[in-house]
Amino acid sequence: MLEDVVPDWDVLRNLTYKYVYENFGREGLLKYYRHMANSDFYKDVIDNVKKEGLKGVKRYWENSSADDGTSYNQKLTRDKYSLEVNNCMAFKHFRDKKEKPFEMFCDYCMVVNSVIADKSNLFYELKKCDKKGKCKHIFYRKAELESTS
Amino acid sequence: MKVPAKYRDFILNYNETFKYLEKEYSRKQVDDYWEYLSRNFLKKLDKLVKEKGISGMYEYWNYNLDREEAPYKLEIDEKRNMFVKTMTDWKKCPPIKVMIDNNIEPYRDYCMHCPGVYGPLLQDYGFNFKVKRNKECRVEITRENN
Repeated sequence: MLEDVVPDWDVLRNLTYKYVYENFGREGLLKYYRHMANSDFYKDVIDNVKKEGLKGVKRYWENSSADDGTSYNQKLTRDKYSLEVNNCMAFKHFRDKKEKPFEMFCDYCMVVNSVIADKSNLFYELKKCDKKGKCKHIFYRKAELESTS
Repeated sequence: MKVPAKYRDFILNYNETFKYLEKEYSRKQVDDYWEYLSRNFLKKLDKLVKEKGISGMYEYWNYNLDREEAPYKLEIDEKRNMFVKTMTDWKKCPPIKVMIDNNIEPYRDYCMHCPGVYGPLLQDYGFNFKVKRNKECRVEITRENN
């Protein structure tokens, strides 16, 4: 089953980020993350979020975690989408495979979410991340921020 | 066959990483990255080859290609100390199929990641990794002194 391959891929992602960091430094890794977030790979996601706003972010998250067993809570209001991940599956795979998580592994999600938000006239905030599989992300409509500031 | 989102995402990311390393740095960086994966990612293959030689390769690829539901044929030629892995239609190689289905152009040397990643590790055990590709993709792994 293809699902069985996913834990190995998470390990490979972890090694890839570590490789880029070791060869090109912190800035090199962040540049790589930004490149990935701006690549064709996220084009459909960004187009969809531009069209649907916060609903599109919710749909993106539901689609990308639909079949991997991630436990999360989410809340969508008119002006805010919050997502709290209780057990990121990548970290479960690291534990199962005895792979040490690379310290900047979680920054990938942060950079991708920031790029999605920037390109879709939304604001993104990483509320918390324990770098062990629990994190909280919030996307806001910019109009909401402007009216409350 | 339903492709899990995480599997699809990884293939597309993996492919994009090759393109990025070559464009931003050099082709050599792509080779160096593959060699890094060879030394750090293939722990299971390393153990199997160390303990069982070509039978270990058979066990490794039989399990992995089965999981990926790939159209393949595996053969062992004990006399020639050779392991052969044939993908009967290279366009059905799982990562290539994911890219075709998602209209993503594969990195120009995508298929070279196979010798690039597996080759260095197998070379440590005295094996050569050769790829012949036409409609099918045939990989021959033999002892260097054959």
